[in-house]
Amino acid sequence: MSTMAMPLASPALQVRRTGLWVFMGVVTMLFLLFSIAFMMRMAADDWRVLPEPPWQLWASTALLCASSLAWGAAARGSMAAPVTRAADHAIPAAMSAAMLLSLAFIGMQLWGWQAMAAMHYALAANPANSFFYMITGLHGLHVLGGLLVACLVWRRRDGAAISLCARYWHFLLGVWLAMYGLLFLMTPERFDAICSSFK
Amino acid sequence: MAYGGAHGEHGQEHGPQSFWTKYVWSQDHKVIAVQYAVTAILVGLVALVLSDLMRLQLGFPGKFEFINANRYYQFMTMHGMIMVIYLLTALFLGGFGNYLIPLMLGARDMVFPFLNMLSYWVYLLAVLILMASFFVPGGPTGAGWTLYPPQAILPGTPGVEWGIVVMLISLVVFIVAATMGGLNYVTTVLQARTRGMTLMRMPLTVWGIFVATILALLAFPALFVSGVMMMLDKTLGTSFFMPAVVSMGQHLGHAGGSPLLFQHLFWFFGHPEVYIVALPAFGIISDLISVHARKCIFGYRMMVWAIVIIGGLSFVVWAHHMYVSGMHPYFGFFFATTTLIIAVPTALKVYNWTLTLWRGDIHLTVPMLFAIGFISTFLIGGLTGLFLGNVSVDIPLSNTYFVVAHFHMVMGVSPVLAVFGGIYHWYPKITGRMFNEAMARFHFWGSFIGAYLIFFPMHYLGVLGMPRRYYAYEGYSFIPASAQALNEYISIVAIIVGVIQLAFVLNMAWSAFYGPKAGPNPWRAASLEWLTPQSPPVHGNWGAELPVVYRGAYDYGKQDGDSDYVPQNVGPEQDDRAGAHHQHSGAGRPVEVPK
Repeated sequence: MSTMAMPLASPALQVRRTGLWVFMGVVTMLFLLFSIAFMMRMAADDWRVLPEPPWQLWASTALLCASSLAWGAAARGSMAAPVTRAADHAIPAAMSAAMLLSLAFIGMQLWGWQAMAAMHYALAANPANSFFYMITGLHGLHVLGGLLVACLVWRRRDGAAISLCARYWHFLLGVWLAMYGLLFLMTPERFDAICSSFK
Repeated sequence: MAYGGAHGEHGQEHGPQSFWTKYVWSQDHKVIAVQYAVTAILVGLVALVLSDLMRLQLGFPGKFEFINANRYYQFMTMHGMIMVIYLLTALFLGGFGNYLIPLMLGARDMVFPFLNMLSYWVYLLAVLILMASFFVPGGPTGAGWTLYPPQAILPGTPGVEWGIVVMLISLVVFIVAATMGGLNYVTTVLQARTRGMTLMRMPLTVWGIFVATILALLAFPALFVSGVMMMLDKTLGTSFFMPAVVSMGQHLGHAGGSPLLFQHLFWFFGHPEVYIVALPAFGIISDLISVHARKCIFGYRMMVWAIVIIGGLSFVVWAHHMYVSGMHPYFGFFFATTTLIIAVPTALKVYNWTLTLWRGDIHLTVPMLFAIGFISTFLIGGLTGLFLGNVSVDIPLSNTYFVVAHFHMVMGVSPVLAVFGGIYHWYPKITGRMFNEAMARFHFWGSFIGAYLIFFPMHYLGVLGMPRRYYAYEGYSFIPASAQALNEYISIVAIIVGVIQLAFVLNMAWSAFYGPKAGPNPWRAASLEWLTPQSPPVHGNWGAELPVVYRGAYDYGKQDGDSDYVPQNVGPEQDDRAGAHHQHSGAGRPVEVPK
């Protein structure tokens, strides 16, 4: 068990890690079901495919990537043994960078909403739009929830907790990339092509 | 497992002091369990009253003017939703799960005690929001517990103004609470078992709750998704589920949505929900039968695998609730097949319970009566499930009282009997006192016979073609007058059985203070929860040292002097079973084996 060799691993790390895995399983199920609903609803005639994503969404994707990387840096710093004086400064810096980047991600997503609305893709105008706002909104709530927990971690400076934050942020990034691809790349034609390839 | 050691140095001295921290803002899994159970039972009593109000209308149509058609549907909806989710799910997972998982596994508490406390308070919030729907303009929703759109959010359905919104909010809040609890239960089972407590030594109650919790964690998101989407349809005018509708002469703004999509999502939650309730009941019944028949559970490994397989299968049968919605015949074939396959592991469990009883030293204690009652009602309900699992039989029966009879036997009466059996069984551990035996027996016979008297005739009414969900049955030429006589009789019995439940409530409340002292292990059970140094167990459960487990939880029936069982924490070298029969309890001091 590699974790036991880590200097800052408290006895409860294994427990917390299991808890996080279970939680990520639940969230995966949630977004998987949204995806399935998305693809089932797509079969109806009134479906209009979403446009090319506005630049804000590419920017927010980059911000979330950066945040995930920053968490990774904080985790690596806090897990290195022994913690050097330089690392002692670097860890809070990386953490605050990660959290600010996440806030910027949320802001950019909201700006993306505004851009979509300005392009006349309103929430109730078409089911594809409805899914876009709903899924991005719920993903954003999961980022905000993560930030809330990260604030508690910030106060405790617990290396194990920082590494779990990093893992959760990587997960959030993965979910976002999957949802981004689903919302803008999955068209009824592609869906049919995938289904007929199994025949 | 590392958890126990880390926590161990605290011992019990960190137990909370004041009334508020001890009983209200408690992080002790046992207090939280009691909070969960009491809340669930209270809200369940509300649902019981609602069912009796429905029966008043059905038995004596028009006699009670305040039960108009709208109220009737509101009572029906709230009765179903409360019973399935806010009573049974909360009681099995939040009540039994919280109390028994740490004690049965030799842990000091759940692994995330703060989250556990939060889970209860969020659950209470969900209950309060739900109860608030009785007081909002228009009253609670009357859409039926399945909340099918489009009718659930269209004018004409009672509670369309506020009730449906309040219901959806309450469900989302409940799911948050259930997820917080579920994370705890799963992680505790995986990480906080004491030394020697392998997965295959866990009592079947823990197995049932563990697998049911996994089902809950994977199935509740489907309810969450459908709830959020319906909320957006209702409040922001989206068209996830809403097709183009002309309502009251007006075109609504919706178009193109699919009510079938909702049904798929709902039942992808709704069917596993049946097993979220059934699997803990299976586990509890297994333990009750083994303890009170003084015999090792027959086929322990088979029982575990049956629980796991039933849990897995429960995710691939959901569309058998939708045969009447219309589907491709191949899909009907698929879902009928998977549904009938579930009968195999389920029947296996029933056989194993029966074989455990076979030549056992059966003590007809109150918990045992409930366990045997459960086997009976579950068998009846399961057999009618075979009828309804077949597409061609289901379609004519689907909208009749046959279905009402089926699901009440299998999912209403049976789990409730398991709940009662479980509460009577663990009551002496929870309170330290014994319940009143006579009153409990009265409660059992009243409920058990009453349940048959109420629900058995409904099978007949269903075969007769009496439709369910109707507010009044006058003026239908295909319903004979004798059906009304039967309805009247069912209503009278239902009200009597409802009143008999007071015997349970009074018994529990009175005995908690005035019942005779029960001692640490009145049933002479072998599993760890009976071996705590104090009874009822204190915060931290085990004193200075965690118990060590050497065997499974079912070592009964080998007579040796006064004792016919070996507790889980008795090691092989202590098992010479000669002489004084001393053993080490969790506290590390010798304790006499209770007689």
